[in-house]
Amino acid sequence: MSLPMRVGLGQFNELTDEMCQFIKQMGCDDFLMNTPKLPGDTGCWKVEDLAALKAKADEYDLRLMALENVPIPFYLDIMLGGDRRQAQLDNMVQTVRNMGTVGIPILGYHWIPASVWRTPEPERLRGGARATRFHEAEHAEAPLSFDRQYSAGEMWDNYCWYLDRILPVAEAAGVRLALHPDDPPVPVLGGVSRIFGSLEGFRRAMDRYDSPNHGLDFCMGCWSEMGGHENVMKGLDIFVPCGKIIYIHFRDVKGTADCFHECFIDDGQVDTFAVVQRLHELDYDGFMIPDHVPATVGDSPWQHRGRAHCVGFMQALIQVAGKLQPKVA
Amino acid sequence: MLVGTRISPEWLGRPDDLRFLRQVGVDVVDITMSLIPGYDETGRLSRDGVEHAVSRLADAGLRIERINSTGDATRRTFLGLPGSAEELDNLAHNAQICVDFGLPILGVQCFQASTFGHFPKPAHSWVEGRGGYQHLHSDLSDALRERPAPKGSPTHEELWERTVKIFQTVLQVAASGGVLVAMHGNDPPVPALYGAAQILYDFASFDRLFREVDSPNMGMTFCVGTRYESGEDVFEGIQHFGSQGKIFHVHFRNVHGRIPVDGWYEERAPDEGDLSMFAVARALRQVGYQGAIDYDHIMKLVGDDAGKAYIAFCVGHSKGILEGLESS
Repeated sequence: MSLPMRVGLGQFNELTDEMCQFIKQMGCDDFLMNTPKLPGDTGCWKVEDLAALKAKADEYDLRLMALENVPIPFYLDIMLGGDRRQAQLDNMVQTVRNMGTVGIPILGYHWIPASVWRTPEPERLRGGARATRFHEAEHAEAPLSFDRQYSAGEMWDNYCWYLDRILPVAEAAGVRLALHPDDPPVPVLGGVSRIFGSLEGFRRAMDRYDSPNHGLDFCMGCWSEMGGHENVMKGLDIFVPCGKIIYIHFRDVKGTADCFHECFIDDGQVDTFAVVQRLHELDYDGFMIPDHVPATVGDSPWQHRGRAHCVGFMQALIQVAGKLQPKVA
Repeated sequence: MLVGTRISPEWLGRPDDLRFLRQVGVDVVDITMSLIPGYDETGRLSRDGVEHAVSRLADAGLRIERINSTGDATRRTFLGLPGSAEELDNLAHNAQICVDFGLPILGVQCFQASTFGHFPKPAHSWVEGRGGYQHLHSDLSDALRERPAPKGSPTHEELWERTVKIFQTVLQVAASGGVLVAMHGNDPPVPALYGAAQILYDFASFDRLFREVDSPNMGMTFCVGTRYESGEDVFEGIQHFGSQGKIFHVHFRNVHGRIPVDGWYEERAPDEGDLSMFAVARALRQVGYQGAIDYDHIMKLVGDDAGKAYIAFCVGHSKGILEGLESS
């Protein structure tokens, strides 16, 4: 059964009763977890641990839609072409199969072994709220993240090695793999080339591995960093109709890939309502979650208040889009 | 349109809480006069107190949209007790303070039967909604049963006479100084509670008040919640009063259930009541409304004892509605 476009929550790593209640209270039925805290000594996630998450979600009548990111050590050598890549692949195969067994339909992943980069000293927003920022020039002297430089060609070859092997497993397991952009989407950081920071990069990955089980975690923030509102709309126009957008991170920034700061969702450079309208027109049937939110005074570590603000905003945009352009049932 | 919220008296001493409001995107606040030191004891706003409040709010990037007098300020007048002259003098003084400080809207409470009566039980209770959040349920079936008026409660006619006198007194000062005076109708919007009359519960009664207190500076807080609860058409009300320039301020909350139809109603999160809050905002825009929309009452989310996550949700929702409105 197809669901409508809808708001979910995510980006936490422990599923408590209180979290389940909070998600429901926000009017959401969908959530994802980012790098859930599960035993992973063996380099993979076991069926029983995944099943416990699924059971907790079921208890609250919630849909556990995705696990976003395994711990980087699960596939670091895969990304860097290291000695242990075959062993890590075997484990990733197991994790994907286990997710399929349990019925967790999406695994979000990224291709940035050195992770997300931000620049110290947060940006100050309205009322003194704090948001992360990135200024590439301030990282000019950054040391290598790993033992040496990794070229774009090499990162792509490693990617292909992995996808050649993991995608058939995902297809067989009924799990969809969702690729997150490199954040920030600049060509190189810490000596590691970042190959998924442009439309061309995503096209290449989606064309080469064209499967219903492969698509994008469309991070609106990163797409905004790459080229503002126009770039976000372009990405949607290309990838929604072919079913390649599996889910959406609904955040925004001000600035460009090499110099930007995050911001409140109502105050960014993207016309967020136009985005939701376009998604509505294109019959997008996935979910979208608040991602990073600015730090407001007195908020919890997970930023309940900041996320509630973003959820309220998203719920309203979807309601307005539906009201302006009702769909015939 | 702007996003507004009320703040409780104790917030003035909590600069972080005020900054939080600004951070999530609140533009203006609605304060009660009780927030000004000395007011509860004397019924009069002090200049120093107002200056302090204005300055503390400005520190957080906020300004006052409406300052609301309390029900106590007019109690003796409404009940016909000695001391009315002093109350009216205080009201005029407070109106002058609003003029002097350029506070845009002065809220004056109408007579609420609930503030008078020693009622057998409260009509409001907290009930569980989606995911177990707590929201208000009001069952008026007992309160609305016909019964004799309680001893000492003012009659319908007395209330009209006293209400008009109160508003005329305030308007004499406010109108010449450019301050708008906003009446908020009865909550709950019914002609009597436990037999005690109240008079400002429907559109016809608002019309009468605006006829009898005929001034462009006399208008209303259009409380979407109570207007919907009353069973009258919210959109007709916005059109009717908005086109006359009578809507100065808006309480923007959502409701499930209507008193004449159901005998009860529930106050709910803005996205899950009977109303499309977007349709409400669009109707307000159509009549040229440019003031604040204020999400009004605060419901209880898990782990949110301070109510801030709920506030953040409502402000985000209001801003989303306005975003959609701008583009539509």
